Amino acid sequence: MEAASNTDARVLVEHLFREESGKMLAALSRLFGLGRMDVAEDIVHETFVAALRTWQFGKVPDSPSAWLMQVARNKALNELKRLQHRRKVTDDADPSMLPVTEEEAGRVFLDHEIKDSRLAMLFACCHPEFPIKSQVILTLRAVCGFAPKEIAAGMLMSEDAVAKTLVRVKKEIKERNIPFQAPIVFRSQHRQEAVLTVIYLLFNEGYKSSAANELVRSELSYEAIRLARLLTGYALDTLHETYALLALMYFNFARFRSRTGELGEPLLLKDQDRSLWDHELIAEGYRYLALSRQGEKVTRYHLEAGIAAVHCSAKNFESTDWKAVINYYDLLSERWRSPLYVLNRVIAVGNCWGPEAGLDALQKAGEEEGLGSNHLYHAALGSFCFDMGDYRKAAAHYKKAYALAESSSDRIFLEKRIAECDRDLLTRH
Amino acid sequence: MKEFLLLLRENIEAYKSMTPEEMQKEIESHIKWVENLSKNGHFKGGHPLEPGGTTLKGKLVTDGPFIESKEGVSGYYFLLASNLEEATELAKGCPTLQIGGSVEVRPLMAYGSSQ
Repeated sequence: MEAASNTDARVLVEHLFREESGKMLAALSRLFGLGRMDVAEDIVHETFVAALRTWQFGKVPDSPSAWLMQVARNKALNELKRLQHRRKVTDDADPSMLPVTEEEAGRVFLDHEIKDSRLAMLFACCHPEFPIKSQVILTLRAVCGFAPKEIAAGMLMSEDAVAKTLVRVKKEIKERNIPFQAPIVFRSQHRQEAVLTVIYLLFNEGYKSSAANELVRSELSYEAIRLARLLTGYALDTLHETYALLALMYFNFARFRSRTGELGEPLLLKDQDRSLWDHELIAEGYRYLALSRQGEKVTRYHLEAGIAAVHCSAKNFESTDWKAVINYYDLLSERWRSPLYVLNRVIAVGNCWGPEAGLDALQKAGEEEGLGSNHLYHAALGSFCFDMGDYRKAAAHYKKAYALAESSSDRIFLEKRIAECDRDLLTRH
Repeated sequence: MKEFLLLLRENIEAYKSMTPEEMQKEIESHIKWVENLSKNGHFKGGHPLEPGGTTLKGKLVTDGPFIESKEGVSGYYFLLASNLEEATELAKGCPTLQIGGSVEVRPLMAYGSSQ
């Protein structure tokens, strides 16, 4: 029967279009120049429309990716001819170069060239002169193929704000005439580190606790992992640093589901359900951690991954190797001043030697580092007082933290703590 | 079983605001719909049509109709059903309807039969 040939409809790989969108954008931007990203975006969209119009009749090509790239390529070559013709006719003084021959143009659609283009695109997006948030947004758009709507959901921003950022940053690319291909940029360790910073920030954007848009937020974090893996395909100077970052991200990603409560509020490590941890991902973390230690340098990511590994290897909260954690935080705070390292170190001290020791260290650190306006500092004070049974003082600290907290998920967390203090005060009297 | 032609008019406008992810979902729902029709022996074929064409009337030849104008047929499905009611019910499942497209269900006239 004729119908039989139509039943072999293939299921498409999850997020195929999003991923292909990133690949096509990279290839097309290389062809037309970074300043013409809008042209590239239009072609990508038209390509998807063509797929939708054709595939909806039940027949999906054997290789959907190859089909899409082929269509994009043909559309691009047509557009190229049009642009070249216009330039000849109007003597358009467009400074960016366009390839001359069709053969030259066609080359950018070869598989390995596309891979290189994605890397070039990543480096172009992580341009240190753009605000860091713009770098993250542009990377999500141009390298990962996220639509503005998805970026907005993932970064807890309005779609309008995302769109405006994209317009602004694209305009800047055009005005500054930022080139697409500059291998020297890949070799610059400074730029490589900038890319890693953006990747880590992207990961944390997705990892931030909030009840909103959990699904797309986990995808954001996973994209960060994928970008880092893309980097490891090239023997860059920061290879071992990248491995360390990957280890760190895998260890954290493994705990993604346990990190928040029902209301999206952050859960303390001791309250997390460890049965929700993904052991395959933890194993990946260890694999990358081992690779990262083959390098000579010990970076921030190495140390942070080391801490994450300690937590992932503990059967329960009580058996955590706190001394190892403290040691890592000592090394971190020696080289990088960050209130977060100081606070986390002190919390580890409290878990290791008891709340009195923790409180003591915390108060000292608070004075030295000027942490008075940091809500996490007051939350930590509250936590130690609570563990010492001083619920009245604990509640006061938590309330101070509440007043300083900015995110709603942090406030939900603190509300819960304050309620606990009140409950314990009541039961005592 | 009788044969039915489903003439499809897409809402091209709706595609403009769709994300790649949404377009993929749209394709997947079509595939699922076709798969279900095939499984139950209702599907005979289908094909998209190029966006433009020409229309002849007397000696006059004009371009179009274009699928962008919603007047042009953008593709067809060929279905098998026992009667028009069943074919219409089947057509109701076409995902294109969800995004503002339309489907015209036309029974093929049978030769040598008055029905």
